Amino acid sequence: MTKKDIFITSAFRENSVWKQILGICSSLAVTNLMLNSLIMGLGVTFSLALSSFTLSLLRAYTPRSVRMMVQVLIIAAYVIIVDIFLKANMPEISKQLGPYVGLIITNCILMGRAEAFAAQNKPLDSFIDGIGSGVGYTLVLLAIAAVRELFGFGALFGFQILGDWWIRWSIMVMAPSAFFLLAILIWIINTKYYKEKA
Amino acid sequence: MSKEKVPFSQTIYYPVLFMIAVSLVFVGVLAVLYRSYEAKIEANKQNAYQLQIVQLLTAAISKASEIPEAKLLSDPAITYAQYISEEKGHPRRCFVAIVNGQKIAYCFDIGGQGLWGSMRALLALSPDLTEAYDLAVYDQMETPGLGSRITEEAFRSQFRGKKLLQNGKAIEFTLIPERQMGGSETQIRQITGATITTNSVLRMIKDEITIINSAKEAKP
Repeated sequence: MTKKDIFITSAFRENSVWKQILGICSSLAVTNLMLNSLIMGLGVTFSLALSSFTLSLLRAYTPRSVRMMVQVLIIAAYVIIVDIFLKANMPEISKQLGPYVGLIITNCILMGRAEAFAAQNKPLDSFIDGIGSGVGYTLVLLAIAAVRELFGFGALFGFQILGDWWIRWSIMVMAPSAFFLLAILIWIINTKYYKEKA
Repeated sequence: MSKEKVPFSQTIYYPVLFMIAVSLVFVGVLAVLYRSYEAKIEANKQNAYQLQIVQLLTAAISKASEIPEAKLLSDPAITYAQYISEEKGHPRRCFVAIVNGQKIAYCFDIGGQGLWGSMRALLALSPDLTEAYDLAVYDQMETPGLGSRITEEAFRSQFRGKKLLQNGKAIEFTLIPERQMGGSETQIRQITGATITTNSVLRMIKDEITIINSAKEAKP
């Protein structure tokens, strides 16, 4: 597989959210504003790529009995780096994302990629796979957030798009909307692209 | 049993030592990183807090010192250093704005229970501690887009100039619908879809103003 193939496979063909149904919890939690989603996506991409890279580097030396502990430890370290960075340089966004940055550690995508890809592949390939999965995840987040922010706040990235005449849909701001939007998204993509295989 | 030499990577000690080594490396990296950012993170918190206090007290300072509000807000750190100081001896953390030697306004750090968790707010009060100048909820876990609208201008502005205390007793506010115009001195337009949060804010103000004032009376 070429590097480009790896990227396309992990970002689209085998997208973590709509194909593997991983990382759902955070896709529901932080998607009420596009900016939050973008920062969250970048945070996940960063920790995913670097943790995959590091785990792949260590894969030959890691004893099988402790590999999951090592995975969690390394993922946690990168996530904490993201958290510290946000707290120091973007205190406003850090406050809005609240506990979700720390919870990237428990995001299934990271452990999933570490087990499924980084444990058997070269460091650079794993790095690209991490970027790909992260980009795929970010795209889903942004797609859901775009709908929620537009209908819920009449804005995109904080810029007011719809005027004062727009009556905000409270449901879009609250958690339930994320559930049905994600379901609709997965439904559309599955019928459109994966039907013949099933 | 033959005593063949087992390679070190097959022994039981290897995973243990490996885990310890990896932990030490990553914990070390994190510790160094955190130390180098610690001061900045603390300063961020401090600045955000001070900015809130300055924003709450600016109207009063501007009135007393005749300096336009925009100028006071252009550099909050200087405004804070010049006019605001922390005052001890109150039941809640207290900041006081002093212009020309006169105490012109107080700002108290108050707290209460919201719908999903506790919340903290800064409440600016007149020097006799009976009238609200401004209110800012700075730490809350209310429902985004509904309860969290207590931090928005439309809700906050209702408290400006409201009497909170009459004859030593906290005033009971009543709620009216969000879009209703007018409203009397003892009415607050509630947030639609967040009645519990609105009530929580009112309860917090009532409880805290009573505590703050009872301490004042206890003093000689």
